[in-house]
Amino acid sequence: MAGWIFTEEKIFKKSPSILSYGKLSGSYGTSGSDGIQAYQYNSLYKIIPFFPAFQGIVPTSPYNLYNPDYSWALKKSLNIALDLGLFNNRLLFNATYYRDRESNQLVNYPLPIQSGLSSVLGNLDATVQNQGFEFSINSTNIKTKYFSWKTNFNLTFNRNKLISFPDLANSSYSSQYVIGQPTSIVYGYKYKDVNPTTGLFEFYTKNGTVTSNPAYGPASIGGDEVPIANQEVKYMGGLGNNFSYKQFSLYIFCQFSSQNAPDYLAEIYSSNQLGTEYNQPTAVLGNYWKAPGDVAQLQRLASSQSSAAIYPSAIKFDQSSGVYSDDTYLRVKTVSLSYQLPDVFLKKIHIKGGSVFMNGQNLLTFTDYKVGDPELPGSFTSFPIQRILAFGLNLKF
Amino acid sequence: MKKMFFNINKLALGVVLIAGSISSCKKLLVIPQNPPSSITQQEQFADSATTMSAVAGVYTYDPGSGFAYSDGSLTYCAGLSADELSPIISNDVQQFYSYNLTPLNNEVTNLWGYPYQSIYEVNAVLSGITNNNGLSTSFQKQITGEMEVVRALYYFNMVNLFSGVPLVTTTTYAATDRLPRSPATAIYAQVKADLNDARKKLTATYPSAGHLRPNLYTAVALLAKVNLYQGNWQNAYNEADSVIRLGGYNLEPNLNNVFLDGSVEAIWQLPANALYNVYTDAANFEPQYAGATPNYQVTPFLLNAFETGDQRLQNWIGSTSVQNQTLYYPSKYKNISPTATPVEDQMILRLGELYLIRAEAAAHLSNLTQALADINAIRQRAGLSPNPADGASQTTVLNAVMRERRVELFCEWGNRWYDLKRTGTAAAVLGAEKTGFSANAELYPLPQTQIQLDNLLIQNPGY
Repeated sequence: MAGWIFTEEKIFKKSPSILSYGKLSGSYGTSGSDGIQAYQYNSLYKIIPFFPAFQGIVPTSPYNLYNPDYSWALKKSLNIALDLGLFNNRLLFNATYYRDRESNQLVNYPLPIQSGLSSVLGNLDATVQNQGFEFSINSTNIKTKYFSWKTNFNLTFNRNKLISFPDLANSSYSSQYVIGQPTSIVYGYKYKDVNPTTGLFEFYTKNGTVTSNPAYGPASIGGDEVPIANQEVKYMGGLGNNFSYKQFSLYIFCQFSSQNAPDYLAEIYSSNQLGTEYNQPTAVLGNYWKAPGDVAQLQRLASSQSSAAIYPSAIKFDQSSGVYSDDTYLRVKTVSLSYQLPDVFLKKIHIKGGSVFMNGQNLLTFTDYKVGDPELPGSFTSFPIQRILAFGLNLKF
Repeated sequence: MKKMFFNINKLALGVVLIAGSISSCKKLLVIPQNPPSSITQQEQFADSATTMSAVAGVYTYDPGSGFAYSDGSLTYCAGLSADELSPIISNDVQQFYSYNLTPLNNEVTNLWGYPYQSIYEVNAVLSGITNNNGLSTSFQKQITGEMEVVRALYYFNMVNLFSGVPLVTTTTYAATDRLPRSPATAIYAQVKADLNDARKKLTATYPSAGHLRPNLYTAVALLAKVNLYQGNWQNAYNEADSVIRLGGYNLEPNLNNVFLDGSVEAIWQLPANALYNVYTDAANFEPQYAGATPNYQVTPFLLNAFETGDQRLQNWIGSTSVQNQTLYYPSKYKNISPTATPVEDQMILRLGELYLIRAEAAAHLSNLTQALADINAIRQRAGLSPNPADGASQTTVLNAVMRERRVELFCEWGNRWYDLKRTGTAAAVLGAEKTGFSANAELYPLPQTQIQLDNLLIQNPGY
């Protein structure tokens, strides 16, 4: 770890400049972590809960697999930061570059069930990198006797990447990860559209041909699944503005984020299929295929959602790129207005302090994301994020 | 400052003295071998009493951490795939009925996964008791035999539902996490090796009260079934014969007593101590209250297979009227109340099946007299007149056996589904009765998740 306040150097001290503070710092470190319970290397037995004794004998069953040789996970972190203060520190700027490389992770390594239990605790010999930039600005734009305006802004870009994974192809993660890609990639079918003649969803196979019933599994096991989406957040940040004028103050905070995320179709085709007794968004009304020649967003309906004619393509659609869409939004998260009651008035009625305020949360959202909340992608039936309006009076005696 | 330093010195000296006095007689610090809520494998198999807890786990009525088939899913899935049941609710089970199973079906995931979890438990008991000086030789022999019978039952059903599956006989995950499917012949070889070894280790006396843990005749009875499936008629005949003649079982004269705890017909049954203390077949099939729609209906094909006057139709099939429609459901198990008496157990093997195994084997060996005598023993118990010996040919007797199996063993252990497949009649029978059947439907798909975790697993054709 090292830091250098370069504005303390003579060359800066001699000549007056708009730069009032400047610091360059960096750090590099290695840390070990476990984050696991003790004794997990041993093969352990537990009482089977809730079940009565078998002929008077309390039943026990094994609940983990024997793995005597696991060790610490290793994390190497690199950080470089630049801090600048301008105009007598009325504008503060920070930029940070970070790179974390984690290897030998302690994970519940998934196993095929033939091994007896669905996972074993052990070290994963893979290296995952998270690197990115963080920027923040704090500025006092205006400051007079009665009026002030302050702004703070932050922006984060994180990029995740799987750097190495020895023998990935033969591991139980082979259909989940790709070296050089983020660990948040999703395997699935590449969606084409609804066939105007048959009225069924169609997908591209690994050879580029078109089918409504692509083969299960990634190409390595003969299937048609390819990486179709990356759910990594592309960027996110927030912008806050604070105004005050005499006894009034106003705070407005907005947040924004951008990622590729499952949309409402993901929920419809996984659990709320059209034709079952569930509430459906009006967005699906009239948008399904009805007659040959229709160019529709959704495939045809049948007498039952489990009908053999439509079920396979519906299931495949749920695992296709067709249920992912852009999830970029800007949300006015907080607006808060308050008025400090004047002291003169308060003294008369023997009160030490008081204010009247109005608070609003989630007032406005700007997004192209359809149906449901962009902050909770992939679900339109879960309880939405509430819009809250609060009015209040604070008095101190 | 100086005073404080002095005090710390004194304290340090005290600590050293105390520590010294402890270490002179005992280890300074004893790290317990296990976290408080569980015990290690070594402790689990320290003596016969602790070992029995792990054995009780194998028999416990809890799919996933006990007996794999205690959720009754094998019965209704195979019943739907055959021509015994039709689903009333439409979900994953519908796919078994209409032959459009996908590798994502949850029931398939469980039919594949639960047995492997249970096989691990069995393998863990076997490795815990082998070369264990804390256990007597006779105890080791007894438990080894029992566990081999349990393992054989699992692999026998796996191979019949999926054909070849990964063969796992160890608890070392490094040796089992990437396995291809062994050929069906290798699975059958393992089943028979286990049963033949169990036969040498087990005695005619049941190890505990009732018929809840396998004895010698349980191993022999299952071996008879395996040999029947493989067409080893003489072996199947001899084994079924020895169970019928020497096992001390009797056909239960009252049909309503066959599935009760302590049934004289039971070769192996497990206590139905599920969450609500009822056997899941009853919970799955019986209407939950008067007037409720049952989850599954008995198909007209099965209803029509009963001859007039067959007492099994009266006693083992229930009916209820829902919206002026009569719905029929399997009712071999009737208890849906935890307090109901008499208690029902989950029947795994019973003498009735052994009679029909001997009959089928005898018919193939051209011993038609014996075959008819066995069929008629079952028919008589059901209140039916005996099949006449006059004019009987091998074909008519074999048909009579299959018809009797259909109405005697319906909705038990997938017998009908297995029978149609092993006799090569599935396509003709199911193709005529139902729509959507294809030769590929005879095998269930491997769960998709498992192929992703072990890419040496090859999916069954057609999925």
